[in-house]
Amino acid sequence: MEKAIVLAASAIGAGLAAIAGIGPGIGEGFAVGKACEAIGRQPESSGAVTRTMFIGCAVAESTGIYGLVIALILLFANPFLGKL
Amino acid sequence: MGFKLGSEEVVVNGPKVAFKVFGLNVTETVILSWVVMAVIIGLVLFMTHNMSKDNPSKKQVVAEWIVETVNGMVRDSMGSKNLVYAPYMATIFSFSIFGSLISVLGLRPVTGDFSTTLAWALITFFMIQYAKIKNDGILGYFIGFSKPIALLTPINIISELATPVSMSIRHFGNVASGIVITQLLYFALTGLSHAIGLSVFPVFTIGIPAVLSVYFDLFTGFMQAFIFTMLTMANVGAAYPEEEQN
Amino acid sequence: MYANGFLSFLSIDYGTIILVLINTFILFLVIKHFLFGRVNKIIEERQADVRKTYEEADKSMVHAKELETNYNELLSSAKDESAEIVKNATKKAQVRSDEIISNAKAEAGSIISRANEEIAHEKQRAMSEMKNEISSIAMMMAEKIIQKEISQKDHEALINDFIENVGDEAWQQK
Repeated sequence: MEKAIVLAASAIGAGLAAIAGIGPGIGEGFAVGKACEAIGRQPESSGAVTRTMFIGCAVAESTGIYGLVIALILLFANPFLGKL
Repeated sequence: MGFKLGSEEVVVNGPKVAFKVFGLNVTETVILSWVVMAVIIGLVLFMTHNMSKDNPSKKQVVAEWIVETVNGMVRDSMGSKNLVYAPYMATIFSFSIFGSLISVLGLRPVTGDFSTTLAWALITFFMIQYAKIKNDGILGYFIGFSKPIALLTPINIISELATPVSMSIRHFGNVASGIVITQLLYFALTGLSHAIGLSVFPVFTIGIPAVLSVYFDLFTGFMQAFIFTMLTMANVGAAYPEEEQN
Repeated sequence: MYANGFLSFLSIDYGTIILVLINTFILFLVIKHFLFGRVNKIIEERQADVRKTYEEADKSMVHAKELETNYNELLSSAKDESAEIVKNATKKAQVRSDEIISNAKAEAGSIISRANEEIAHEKQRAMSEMKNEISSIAMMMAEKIIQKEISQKDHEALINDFIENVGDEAWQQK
């Protein structure tokens, strides 16, 4: 019974952790849009803009990845089950 | 840990421990990293074999292009005085790319193990600290933590420690999510095949995972290798004072 | 941490970390030595080659410049020389043409004088012929006029005297 509760709570927690994907999604979309604008304005610097955009996206993605890792921990390496 | 679906269970495991040497686990990751190393070393030796100054062959042109590109990137982001870092960046980049691409062959990616990316991030971390100590001196290095005000010292230390953690988790998370999603999808498609009565021959598992693997293995593999290398360069380069660049 | 010989999905394994560090270090040494070392060496050699080629090109450029100035000097001196030659030739031609003209003038003069001489000669001959003619006519006339009275000897003397007078200017003036 306790195990079931912990598992259910972990599953809910994992689902909640996936909400962390919203922020990076909005942020990256914004960044890519701005990058497209920049490329439209200065097509000759598209290489530098794209490179910078990818690095910026990678940094912005960090929080989303943290959420993903927490979800993965809860699902596949649940630390609470060992405490029962 | 895993999910149960009927009688079958989705198991997303870590790497398998193959054997132990001196109490150290030699896992699948390490063995596959040896394979990756062998491939890279073979490629390097093949490309740089019989190089000629006046009449370069195609493979030599490729080798020169790689070296020039990495040198150019290091020069751009770290300054031309730090060209000594270029071979390390090429090492990390090639190791990461081939370590991720190995999953195309159905093997477990080397970078899908948190220990691997943590090891690389630790190298980056110690490089940053080395660069800072080298430029500021030991005393200046420790004083640097209490800037701009002494109150921020714990936050500075945490942000310093956050660099390798975030780098390693980013790389691991991207590749691992690919592993998990591919495995879940494979399992789901097998279940779908069972559901319509094709248990002998799971027809759905043929084409669809390959399409996803193009994104998760090829695109993410290249992207994360590039980002990990660029972030290493940017972080280590930022540890050098501005005027020393150029 | 272990399940059927598998590590858990998100595990930090010291053995893996240490071995990956060692692997990375080995790969780093290989790439540094075999890829970067060799390629950089080749590139440096090529750069040295290029530098040498440029130096040689500079050298040959200087040489070419030297040659050019030499040629220009030669060319200008050749121009002077040719002008000289033309001048000389013109002078010579002038002299020659003058000579030819004077020769022609002299020749023309000589031809004219010779023609004059010939005219005079011809005139002389015609005159003497005319004289003979006239003398014979006169003789015939005289014979007819004074056939018997005057002797042959007197006759001749008379006629000769007459003819002598005829040939003179006195005759001509008539």
